[in-house]
Parts: sequence; C-alpha cells; structure tokens
Amino acid sequence: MTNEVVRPLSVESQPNPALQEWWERATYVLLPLLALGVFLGAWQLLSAAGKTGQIPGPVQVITDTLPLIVDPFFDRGANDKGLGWQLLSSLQRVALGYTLAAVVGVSVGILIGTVKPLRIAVDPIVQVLRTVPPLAWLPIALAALNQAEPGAIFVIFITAVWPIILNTAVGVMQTPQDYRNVASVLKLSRATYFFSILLPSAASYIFTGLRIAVGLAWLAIVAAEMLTGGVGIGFFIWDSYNSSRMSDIILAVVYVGLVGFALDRLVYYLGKVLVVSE
Amino acid sequence: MSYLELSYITKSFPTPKGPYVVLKDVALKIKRGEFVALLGHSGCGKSTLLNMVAGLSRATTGGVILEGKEVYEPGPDRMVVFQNYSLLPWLTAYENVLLGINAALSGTEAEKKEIADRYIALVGLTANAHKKPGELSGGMKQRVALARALSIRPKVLLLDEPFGALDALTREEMQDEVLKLWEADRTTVLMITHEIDEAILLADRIVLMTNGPEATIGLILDVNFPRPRSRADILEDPAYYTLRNQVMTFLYERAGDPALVD
Repeated sequence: MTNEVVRPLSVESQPNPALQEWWERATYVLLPLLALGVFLGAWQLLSAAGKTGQIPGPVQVITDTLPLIVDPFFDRGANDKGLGWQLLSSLQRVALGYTLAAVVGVSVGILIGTVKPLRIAVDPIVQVLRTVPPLAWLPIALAALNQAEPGAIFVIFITAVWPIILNTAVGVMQTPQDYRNVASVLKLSRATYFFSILLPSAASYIFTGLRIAVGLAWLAIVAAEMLTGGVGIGFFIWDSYNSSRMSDIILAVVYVGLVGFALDRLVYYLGKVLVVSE
Repeated sequence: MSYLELSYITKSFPTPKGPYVVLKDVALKIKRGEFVALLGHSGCGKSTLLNMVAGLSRATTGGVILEGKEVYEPGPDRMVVFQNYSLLPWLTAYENVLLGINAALSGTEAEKKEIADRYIALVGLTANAHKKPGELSGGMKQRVALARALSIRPKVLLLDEPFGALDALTREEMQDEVLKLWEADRTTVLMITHEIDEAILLADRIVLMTNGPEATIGLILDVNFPRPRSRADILEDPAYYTLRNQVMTFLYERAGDPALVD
C-alpha cells in the first residue's frame, strides 16, 4: 500500500481568508449602521411630509438640542442642569433602589429556595405582585412613605426585586445532587455549605435575575421621578413634556436607552467574571 | 472479626404496583485493609448498595456496620469517589482538596495546607494544583477526587465506578495509580466496577452480583496474586485466565443477562 496523499490542484481560486474575515467583521458594524440610516431616513421623510404630529424629525431634534449635547454638565442652579447631571442623579437613585433589591432579593430567594413550605406559601404572592407595573406602585409608595424621595427608591426597589427572588430561588433549588452529596459526606458546616457550595452553585441564576432586574430598575426611573421632581432624567422628560420641548424629550429618551443598555452589559460582564461553571 | 459489614441489606422502592425490590439480603463481611471489588451488570443495584454504605441512603431492612457501629448517615470516615468526580468547579484542584481537609480534620492552618500539598503531589498534580476543574482533563479531575478522598484518611474508601467516564488509556493509567497508592497505605476499599480486568488487577476479593430485581451476592472469588502487583505480571500468570473465565461464566450464564455493558 502506498502512502501518497493527493494534493489539491489549486489554492489560488480560494478567496483570501484574511480579507474574508475582515469583511465578516465589518458586516457587524455596517449592517446596524445601515438599519439605523434607514430608520432615521424614514423618520425624516415622514416628518417632512407632516405625518409625525408634534414629533420633530431627526435633523430638527439635533439642531434643537445641540446645546444640550455639546455641554452635558452645565449647572445653572435649581433644575436647570445638563443631561449628564440629570443622568447621574437618576443613576444614583437606581443604584440605591437596585442594591436594596439585590440584597433583599438574594436573601429572600435563598430562603424560599431552601425552605419548601415557605416557598409554597409565598409563591402566589410573588407571582401576582411581580406583574404589577411600576406606575401602579406610585400611589402606594406615596401613601406608605409620605415622602417623595424614599417613595421613588421604593418604586425602583419593588420593580426590580421580583426577578432576583425568583431566579435565586430556582438557582438554589437546582443545586446539583452531586454537590449536596459531597457536602453531606464531608459533613460541611452550614456556613461552609452556604458560601462554598450553595452560593457559587446558584451564582449563574442569581446573575440572570440581577440582569433582568437592572433593566427593570432603570425602566422604573421615569415613573419614580414623576414623584420626586427636581433633578433626574425621568423628571426631565416629564418636565420637557409639560413645557412642550419635544426635541429634548427625544434626546433624553435616546440617553435613557443608551444608559439602560450600558447597565445591562455591565451586569452581564460582572456575571461573566464572577460565575464559574464547568 | 469483620471491619465493615453489610448485614442482610434489602432495599425496595415503593411503586404504584407495590414495592420494587432492588437488593435482597446482601450480606458481606470486609476485613480491615481489604480491597473488595463489587462486580455486576448495570442496574443490579451496585450503586444503590454503595450509597447505603456511604450513608447517602438507608436500607429498607438490614444495615451497614462499621467497627461495630451501625451507619446511619454520611460522614468523612466513609469517603466516596464518584464516577463524575463531583468536584466543585469554582474551586481550584488544591482548594477542592483543602475543602475536605478543613471540614474533616483538625489541626493548624499550616498543617492542613501541608496535607493538601502532600496529597496533591501524591497524585502527581502539583503543577496543576491551581487550575480549576474546567481546565483539567478527565483523568486529572479523578486524581483530584482521589486526593480529596485519601487526604482525610477515611476508614473506608468507596469508589463508585471511578474510571467509568475515562478513555481506555487514561483508565489503565489511573488503575495503576490507584494500585500504587493503595498498596502504599492499605485503606479498606469497596469499589464498584463493571470491568473484570480492573477488579482482578486491584482487588483482594471480587464480589459478583446477580441481576436485579432482588439482586444479591451470587459468587465471591479470592484474588490471590502477590503484591505489589503489576499488570504485566498478572497477564503472564495462568491463574489470571482461570479467574477471568470464572467471572465471565458467572456474568454471562448465572447472572442471566448477556448484555454486558461497556
């Protein structure tokens, strides 16, 4: 038997692999840009044709809001601050409400994930309350807390807490039997079991909950700041609507979207760094 | 005087059609320092039996006695090496071993670390000690599991088809490794396997199970090759073939089911 390997006849007809890869990557930039262009173009055309009601076209929005875009950190006292300040102030509220939701959510989730009777008892309440929209919590928050600022934090908290509870509980329940066996053969103490097995094992679920929750917390900001007034991107939108500054609203909405996207990515990468799975 | 005794263990599970008896009257006495291999077809209840010795499940009737005391719950005196390694993926190899030592042994921090280092070295993993299980091969993971089990010096080491998930070459390597480790410290071992050569190479006695339901011990064979053993020596010994034939005959004819797994 011979050991002759047949060589392919020509390599030249194949396209350059480096070029091909570059093009492959470029499409991930070009196609979204194309879609954005089509969207903005259609919007511009519709508004030029007078089909968008009071909503200005994209060009109009940019010319109207140019001062806001170029100087996000001006401060002319009271509520008249740049969008950078407005966003930071909102982020602060969200950070507070969200941290509270994370602490309470993970704790309650672990509790109802471990104690079955508690889970059965609490499940209907959780299932019903988690569907209540942030706006509906507003009057309750106000009535209960009497003050605007804690009320706003509460609205963010109560909107974000449910997915953290549910995902943590599922994560705890899904702790693989193998790990439980190791723990019982080694007779691990409760604290060691909790920190070395339960928490890391449920971590990927917990982070799924945290990621959904950060989106919801940010969603609640507009509702929450209808309460507080003052400085904040949510109130800025409400305030701009009351004084018919449509272009400002659109710019603020774009910023809200971008920040929400950034928050989602942040929690995602945090989870990626912290969660170890096999 | 037996060290570990399986005292007429019967295990049944309730089903809508009445109890399903997996094991019936399994009785076995194991001496201190003995290596016993439990061999049988898949589904004969070998793992169920091992879980009961580990204390992870309870016998319906009968029970397990270790050093004259009945076993009711799991504990580090009966350390298990599971087929799927059961390492914690978020801890390094070294931390996995240390977790067991910290939980089961007393001593200073430094002493415990020294033990972990020693056992990691014993299974040849020093260079990979600070890798997580995800970065280790199947054979290396099982070495970590072995180190974790041996490091706390259990009274009985329970091996649940420890090499079943490994490829043939790695499996032989690990068998030689276990042979070497065991001949050095002679822990009492109960090993479950469905590989005949593995049982012959390692064990002092081979316990053959009949097929389930109502599986029980069908035949016990002594393996009298001198120690230290080597795979090559055993293969040259005519007694190996006689023994192998006895096992095969039992598994194929007396145990009933010809579909030997693997």
